Amino acid sequence: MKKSILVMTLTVFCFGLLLTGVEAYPEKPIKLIIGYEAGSATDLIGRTFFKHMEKELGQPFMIVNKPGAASALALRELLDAKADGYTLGMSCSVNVLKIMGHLPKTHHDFDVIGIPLLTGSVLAVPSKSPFQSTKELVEYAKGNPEKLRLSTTSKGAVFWIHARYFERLTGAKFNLISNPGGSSFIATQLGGAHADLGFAAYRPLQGQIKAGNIRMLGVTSEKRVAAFPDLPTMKEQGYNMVVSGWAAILAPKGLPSDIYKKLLDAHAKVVGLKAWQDFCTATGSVGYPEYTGEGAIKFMDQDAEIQKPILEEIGAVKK
Amino acid sequence: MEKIKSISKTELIIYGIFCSFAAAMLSPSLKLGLGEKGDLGPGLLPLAANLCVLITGIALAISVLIKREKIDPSGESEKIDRKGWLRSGGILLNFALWPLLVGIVGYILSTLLISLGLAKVVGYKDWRRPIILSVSITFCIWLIFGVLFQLDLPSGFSF
Amino acid sequence: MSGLEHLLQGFQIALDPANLMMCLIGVILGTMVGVLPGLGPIEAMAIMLPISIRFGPLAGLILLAGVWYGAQYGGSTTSILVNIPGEASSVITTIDGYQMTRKGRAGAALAVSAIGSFVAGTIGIVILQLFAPPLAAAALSFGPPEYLAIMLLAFVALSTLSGDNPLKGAMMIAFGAFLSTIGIDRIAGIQRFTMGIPNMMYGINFVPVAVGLFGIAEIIRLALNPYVPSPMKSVRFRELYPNREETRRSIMPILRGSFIGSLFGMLPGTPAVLASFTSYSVEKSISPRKAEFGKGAIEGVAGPESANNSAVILALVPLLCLGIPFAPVAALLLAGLEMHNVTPGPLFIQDNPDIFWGFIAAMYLGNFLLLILNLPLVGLFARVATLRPRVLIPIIGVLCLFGSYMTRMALFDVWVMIGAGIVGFILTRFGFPLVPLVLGMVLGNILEDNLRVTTQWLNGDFSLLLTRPITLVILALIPVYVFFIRLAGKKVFRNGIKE
Repeated sequence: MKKSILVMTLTVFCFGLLLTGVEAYPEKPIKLIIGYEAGSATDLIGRTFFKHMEKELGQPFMIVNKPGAASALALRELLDAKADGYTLGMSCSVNVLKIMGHLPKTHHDFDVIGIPLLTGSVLAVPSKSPFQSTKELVEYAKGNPEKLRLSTTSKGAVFWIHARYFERLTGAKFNLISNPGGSSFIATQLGGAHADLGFAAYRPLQGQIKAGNIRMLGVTSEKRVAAFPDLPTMKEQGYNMVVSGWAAILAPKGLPSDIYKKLLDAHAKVVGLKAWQDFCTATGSVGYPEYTGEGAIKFMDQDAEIQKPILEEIGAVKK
Repeated sequence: MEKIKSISKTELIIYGIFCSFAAAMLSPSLKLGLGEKGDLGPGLLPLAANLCVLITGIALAISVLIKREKIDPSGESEKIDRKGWLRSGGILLNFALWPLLVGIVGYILSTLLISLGLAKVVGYKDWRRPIILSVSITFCIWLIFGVLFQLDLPSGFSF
Repeated sequence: MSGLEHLLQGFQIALDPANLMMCLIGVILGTMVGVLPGLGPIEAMAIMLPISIRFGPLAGLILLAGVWYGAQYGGSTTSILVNIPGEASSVITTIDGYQMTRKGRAGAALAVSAIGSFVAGTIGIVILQLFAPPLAAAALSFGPPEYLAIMLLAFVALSTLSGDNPLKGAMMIAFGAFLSTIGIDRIAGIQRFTMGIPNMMYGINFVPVAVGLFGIAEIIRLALNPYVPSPMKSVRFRELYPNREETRRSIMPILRGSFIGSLFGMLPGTPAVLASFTSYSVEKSISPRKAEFGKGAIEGVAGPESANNSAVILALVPLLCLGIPFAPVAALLLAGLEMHNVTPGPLFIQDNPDIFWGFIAAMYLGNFLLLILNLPLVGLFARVATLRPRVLIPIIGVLCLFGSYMTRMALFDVWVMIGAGIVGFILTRFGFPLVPLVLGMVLGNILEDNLRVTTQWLNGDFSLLLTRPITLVILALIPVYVFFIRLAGKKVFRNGIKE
């Protein structure tokens, strides 16, 4: 009984192959190079997203972590790979690596598949903090420049850029504390009230927020986030600060058009899946199916425009 | 007495290498910037570390010059014959061969070759036992890393 | 419900066949990746993560955590047998563990390390079970200055490890610290000493350096005179395990090590290596047989190995009770829980008593499984030490190549390993201690990070330190520690004269 089913599926499959010809892609496992350590935030996003992609494309993904230089090392390897759709890569900073001097290429040198999710930065304070809104905080900071400690990630990393952007938009000055690594130190510094405010992703703060040690004042995404619908965006609070952390899926430039289209379709479809949207909600992010292909490129162009002047200011820009 | 002198001479050379390396790194460290009181720069620790290497290196060199009679402290002054050096050199050569080969012929073939080469260099006279040894090593590597953990090992043109 | 009732219920849950199975798979897999240098628990856990999701939050947590602490059991095996530390926390074990192997006591070293791991692991779980929530709250009171103070204390402790010639040790620490700064700066985000080589941007990786300095250098040394008959030609089975004297000497180091490890483990973001070398430095300074250290003292294996394991278990405190993952391994555990909408954090135990107590019970079982899994392996592994160099060298040679390649799948690291091997061989011949070099490399940029974060935090106002009582206490401990070591040293000296 089982055998006959197998034979039947095989026959149908073979017929399908004959009929569609090029539709055979993918016929072997696909390699995904993630430019960050196993267990890091981007790695977990990649692993979850490509579980769904596997189902969509019918082939398993082999995930390879090549951390280093804000994903520049992984992208170098991707540039050397064959453009046959069997090697993909993931990066959160492909559009500014050239500005930072880590890689002489930008996202225009790749075939962009898409951006599966956007994560707005959360402006958070310790629960004991006297500030109840962003406005109160900004007013106080303006009167007391460099008094408030703002805990964030390393210089040039996404949350640091958001913190700087916040300073530029509001005109307030903070004492920026750049921490190494991800957002974990931000979470302890806020949870233990060692810092007065912080910009970070929602996920590492989650436990402390639920326990009532950390309070959120605003989120920098375009619209309110499903994970915390009561939290107003920065835009609603009168600060036109719409920036996000994101992760892009890339392929070497010059994919055959049918393979490229197949990957784009699969990407758009998976982002629209309820399971993926649930994952986004749980991590305080948003997934937009329209950030596939062209939409993603346009988004990264705009994002690079925001980051560039800030990166120039710290001299991360290579002369 | 001759031998002891040659040992302290080599030791002096080692200090020389460390010190000149550290000295060469001082100015690049300074260029990275020492920062200010409220925000230390990326050059501070490298500068401090290199200064420390320089100072201890000079102090150690002086101490060697003062007491020449100090004997090789590792206690391994046994004589090493030419064969021994040849074996060690052969091992290093085998190691260097692996990264050169692996991109071209893939990890299975190159591991087979390297382990065979190592076994021959280290002392097997016949061919049968080293071949058995290298085949079983390569099989285990393939089973554990290739099959069980599904790692992305270089494949080259063969596997 | 009392704690005991909770725990009994937890055992009921953990003994469920599916959970028990997960626990067994986890610890076996963990032992495997622990033994193989270069392959860490992270890779194995990342592979198991999607599989674990199918079995619910508890089974997944049991499986992933089993891999994690299982890896700590096997981690020192290669350090003891062939002088290759597979991760930072087992560097210390090479000092005395490998010397024991050269004296024919590999079995005793392996057995003591397994038993020590078991005792320390169990003590760690007891502490986790009883005090997790208050400990987590206490950990939150540690801010940047407190971490800096701890790192300063650690460097003082490190200076006691420098071997015969303290100046040489200091030089090695400084050189290691410099090596740790190569790559992209973790705070300023700019490149340091990369010379434009892309692979240098990620920095000089620990594993290839350690494998080269210790492993390859040892292979070269072995090959120089390969026909020395092995001291362990014909050992009877019973002699593989520690004798009465060795057991007696290990008990206190294991207990002290467990305590030290527990202290360091609770502090989020401190690497387990801090615990293991602090334990070594304590054992060395209070031992009446100071001269034996570095030549195969069993205390030098028992203490650090125990400290390492309890540190790893208690590193679960910040994860479970603060909800903050500090290491990638913790992030993977967190991910496994979050996929089932279970959020670790201060309310975790209260909201999910079944998961917490089931997990605690499963850890007791896992620790026990590891012990009965590892003791027979001791006999097997101890025989590895009796292999002739011509069999051993090809095997460990290939393992070293793969171990350094696999840390991030780059041939660059293989070249680093070969270079480090040559350097290590030369340095050892001239009596330069390598352990301070490697520890300087591991801890150098952590010290730098803490120093820089703290100065940013102070923003030039150093009087703020006076408002931090915990910092002041830790800083005050530094001279006490130095005094204590001096005193202990003098006592040994006097005893030595009397004898």
